[in-house]
Amino acid sequence: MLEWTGERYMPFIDPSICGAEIHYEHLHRYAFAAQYVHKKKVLDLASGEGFGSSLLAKNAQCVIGVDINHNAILHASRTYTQKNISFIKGSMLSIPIGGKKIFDVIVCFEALEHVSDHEILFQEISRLLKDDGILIISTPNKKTYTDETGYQNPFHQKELYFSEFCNLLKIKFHFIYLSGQRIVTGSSIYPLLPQKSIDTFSEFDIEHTGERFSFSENAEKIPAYFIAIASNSHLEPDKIQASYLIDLSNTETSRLNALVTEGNSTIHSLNQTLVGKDQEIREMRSHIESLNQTLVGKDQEIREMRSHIESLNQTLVGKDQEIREMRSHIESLNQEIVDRDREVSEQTARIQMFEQKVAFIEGSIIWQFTMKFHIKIVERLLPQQTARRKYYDLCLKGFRILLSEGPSSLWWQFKEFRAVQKMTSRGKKCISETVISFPFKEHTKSIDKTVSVIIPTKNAGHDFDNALNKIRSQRGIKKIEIVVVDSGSTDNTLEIAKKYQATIIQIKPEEFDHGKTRNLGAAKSHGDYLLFTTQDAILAGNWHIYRMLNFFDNDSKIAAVTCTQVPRSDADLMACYQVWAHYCKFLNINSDKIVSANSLHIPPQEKRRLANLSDSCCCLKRELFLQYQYAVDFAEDLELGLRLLNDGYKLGFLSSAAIIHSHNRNAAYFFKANYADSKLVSQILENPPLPWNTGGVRNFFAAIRLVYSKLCENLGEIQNDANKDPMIIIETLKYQMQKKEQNTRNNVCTDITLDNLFSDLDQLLQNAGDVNPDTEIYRILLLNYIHTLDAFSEYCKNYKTIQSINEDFVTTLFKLFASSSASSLGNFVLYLETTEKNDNVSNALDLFLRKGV
Amino acid sequence: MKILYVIHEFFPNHYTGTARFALNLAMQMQRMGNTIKILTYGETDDDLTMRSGKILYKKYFFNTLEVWSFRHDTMIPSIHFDIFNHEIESDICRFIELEKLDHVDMVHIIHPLRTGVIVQYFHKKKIPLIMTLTDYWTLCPRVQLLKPDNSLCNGPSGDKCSMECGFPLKKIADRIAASQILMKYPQVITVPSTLVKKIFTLNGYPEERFSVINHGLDYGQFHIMPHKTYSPGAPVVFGYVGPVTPQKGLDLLISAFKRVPGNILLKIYGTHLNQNEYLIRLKTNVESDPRIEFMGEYRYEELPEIFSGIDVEIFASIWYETYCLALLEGLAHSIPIIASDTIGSALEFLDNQSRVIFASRDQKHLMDRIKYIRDNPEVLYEMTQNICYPPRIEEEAISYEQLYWNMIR
Repeated sequence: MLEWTGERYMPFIDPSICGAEIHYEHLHRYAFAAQYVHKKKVLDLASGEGFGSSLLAKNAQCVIGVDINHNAILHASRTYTQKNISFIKGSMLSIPIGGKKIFDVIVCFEALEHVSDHEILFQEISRLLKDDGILIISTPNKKTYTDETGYQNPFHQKELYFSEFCNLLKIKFHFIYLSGQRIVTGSSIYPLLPQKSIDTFSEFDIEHTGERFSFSENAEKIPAYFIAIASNSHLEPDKIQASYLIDLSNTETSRLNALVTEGNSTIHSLNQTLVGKDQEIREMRSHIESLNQTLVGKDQEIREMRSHIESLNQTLVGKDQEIREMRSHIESLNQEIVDRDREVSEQTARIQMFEQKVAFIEGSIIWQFTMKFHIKIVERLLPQQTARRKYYDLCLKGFRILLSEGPSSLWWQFKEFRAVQKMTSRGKKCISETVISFPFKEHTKSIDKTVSVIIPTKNAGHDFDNALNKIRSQRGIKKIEIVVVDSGSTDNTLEIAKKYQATIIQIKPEEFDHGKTRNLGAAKSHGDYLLFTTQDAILAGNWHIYRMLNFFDNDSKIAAVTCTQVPRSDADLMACYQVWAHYCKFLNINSDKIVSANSLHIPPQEKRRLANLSDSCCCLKRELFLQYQYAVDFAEDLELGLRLLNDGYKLGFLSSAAIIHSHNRNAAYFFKANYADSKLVSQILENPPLPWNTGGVRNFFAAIRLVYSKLCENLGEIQNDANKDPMIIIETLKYQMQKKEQNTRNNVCTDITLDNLFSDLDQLLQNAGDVNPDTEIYRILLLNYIHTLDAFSEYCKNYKTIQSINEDFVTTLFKLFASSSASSLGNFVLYLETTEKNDNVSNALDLFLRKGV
Repeated sequence: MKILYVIHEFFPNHYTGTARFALNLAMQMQRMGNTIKILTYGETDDDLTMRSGKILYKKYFFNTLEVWSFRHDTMIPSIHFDIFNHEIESDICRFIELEKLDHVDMVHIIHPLRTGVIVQYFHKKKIPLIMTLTDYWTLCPRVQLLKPDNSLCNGPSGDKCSMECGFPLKKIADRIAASQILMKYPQVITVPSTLVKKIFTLNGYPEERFSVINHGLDYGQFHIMPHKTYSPGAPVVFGYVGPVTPQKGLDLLISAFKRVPGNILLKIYGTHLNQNEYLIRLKTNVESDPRIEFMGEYRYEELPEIFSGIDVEIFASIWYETYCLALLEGLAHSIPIIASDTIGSALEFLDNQSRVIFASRDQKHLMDRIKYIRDNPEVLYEMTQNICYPPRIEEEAISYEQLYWNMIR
């Protein structure tokens, strides 16, 4: 089978591959030529596949097909086997047929352009064509085939324009009839029934110009191919007709329709793609818009960043300034370090001196003898943890006291020791403390009792409103009655009391007595229970009274319930320490507990710890209280507690309920209060005073002044050590205070309230400052202060710095001095009174110091 | 007792309500004789000189308190979102042990933000642990249970947080799971109001896990003014004292106030807390009403003077406000309060049956309250007389100290 290469036409090729037009052109040309070959000898040059020769053979006498291609000849010979047809392989330019003037008709379709030497071709045609024979030849119109389309057929060697074709024909032939061939789009009107054939036909030419078709007359019909019938004998024009080929199967139209359908389908799919692309474009536009918006946002961010950078630059300038200040501060600190280094050197030198002394002592014969005695005899005969070792240690301690403090001191310390020993051993058997687990839930059943809250007042201040408001807010109690006993307020105390519907009892200021005033309030009250409190004590929480009343249910012998206290948020350091030292350390109210005592033959401090009811918040059964009442003007609550314990009642101490209560007092107040407390509480506790062996109250006061002046000197030195750990400051102070040599410090720190108080006392004691201080008293006062500092340092461990409370801290050290020295003074005056050694001076002092406390 | 307080930020660089709560509590605990240390995340501290692996830290003193501040050496973006920052866990543990911060009787987590691994550490060490929830951060990464459009949210769920607040689904699911683990560590969880307890209970946590301990106020600087009396028709000065932020509902308050004609004034004290646009919008909104006045920033010590010029204070918060100390400061100065029903301390200290609570975001309801006071100013005296003062910081500290003792025992 021949393959389709485009070089030669093949009738069996599918029009979908090559189009139907080529079929129409070739078939039409041979059909046209077949009209002229009836019973004639025909030569078909470039016969190709052979279909044309076969078509011609139907009418002709014989047909010889010549083609240069071997396969084409082979194919034609096998395919077209009519008897009057034969195929010969050979070139058109050298036709392998001998002789001259053999053929009536020579057909040469679409072969001329395949060779370049047209004259040789025409010589060969002239050789074989009879003189009256005709040549039917076709070739493409170069103008339309190549020039207008730009298409270059690779198999064509030389194409011809119309004139060239004419001129070529005229060389060999006298008579030439020229036709044009082109595929047309048109309409055919033809007979449908058998009838006489129509020999003529009408031709109408239309043309689509612009928007519509219109009929054209005399329009040039440019052919795609030229077909010429040429002969040297005369041609009869009537026999040469225009010819039409009609494809009954409408192959080209179908093909074009198919192409259109396919095109439409392609267009449809392209349209869909277009829709998708449109959507993509819209999304892209939207994305671009959002990007633009982001861009705007980013611009804004950049502006803000710039602004921020500017502010940072400004901050940087500030920081630079800070750095300069820090450098300056570091310089001053470095200077301080130099000072401290010097101090360390001094201390190191002192330590070395002590070490030398110790070495000297350790090198002495006495020391060596003593150590040998201690190791070989004492440790063997009196081992640790034995009674005999205990007595040995006591003897040793006594011996040291005798040497350092003298026989009198040894005597009263021995007496005190004996008393404590006796009472402690007895007390352990007498005391009972029971810790109560006292779970509490809100919204439990209300207590169907009335509680009368008794409050003595005088110019109560703004906290009074808070205190009463909190009492009114109490829950779980049927009724709460407030009874205010006022001793001459001149502020809005009574107005506030009225706001809370308090029962107001007014007394004269001079009638005020801590005990009697409260008794008066209790007498005027109507509650089942009494709650004594103060004008500046604030109950914590709304279930405070409920808890206190509930606690009575734990034991029917409970006569009174008191509670712990916490300092106010604006409490100063001393106030905080006092509350902590009393309630957490001394009374140890860290859990709810019930205390009782079979006997009160116990040490005084133990008595105080057990019986220390507090009028700041103390609840009692009213009927019981009215039997007992307060009996003294000072420490009346403690005194009542002792009586109740003595009579077999129990007292409740609550940590689960608390009041907010503290006072910021000055050092002078502490001096007076501790004087009174020491003297009066000792009396209540039946604690005899120490056997003071000294001249008189003026000498005692002179000793106090001496300790004070030493404290002022040392505090002046350390008050600037704000960055130091308070523990270090206390230890330094202790060390400095115990140094025998007097300091010669330039910085002196004083307490103005103590200065004023001591100035008043100087006057009262007739220039006691001029009296020589009693050295023994001085030593005891100093020791007491050191002990006080030791106790304070336990609280101070919670503070790692005093930087922000430096002034408060220094003031506290004065207050601690005032407390400890006044306690000793109170004990001393009590000693004078009990030994009847008091005189007008001491009596005046006593009166002065107790006034206003 | 040795107590370690752990908080996500602290003075002097941060002075938020939670930091103030921690400061007040720690100072009062110290006054009461306890040894206090504070461990905080110093997000903005740039002078941390000591290092433990990936964290930097330093010690400093604030007032009389010893404070240890630490932070990542390189900040990570999820620091505010994550419950646990496991990437610094081992470094934190080493730092705590090195500086002996674990030598304590009690650890109180004031806020678990940025400190989750510390909670975990002390839980493993079996040191008594208590945690306070001052906001909803453990439930909601946006902290306030408010959606981006400022509508209320009742609690987290993966889908909701993802769809409505834009958090990645997996991250929010992991966060919810981590939060549930965190909440199991402390023996006791305290909340400042019953409202907070209710919100957490609604989100599936058992009610008994929470103890309500109200925050207290420092009354040291307060001076209660003499109570005024009011005659019918007398001008009434309404006030708002606090931050000027959208969550406080000031736009609602101003809109309601503008619609109530009459002889009434509204004074707004406070600053915008970096939300200047909101303040500008409010000021624009009130231009037409001369009865409304913006008084600007104020200092804490000025409160007595401010309250002396206000007859009644209004809080119109639109979120489940955990407590609202500003409201209590008004009450502590004997100022009658009108407040929305989503404020924790309002529900705690105002009588719900009285004429002072209104439905949050309900402008008409708020207008009714304002009209009532306008028409009956004489009731203010009675309201003032019946005010129960809110708790003090000492009371709060006492409650916590008792709680600590119970846990230690």
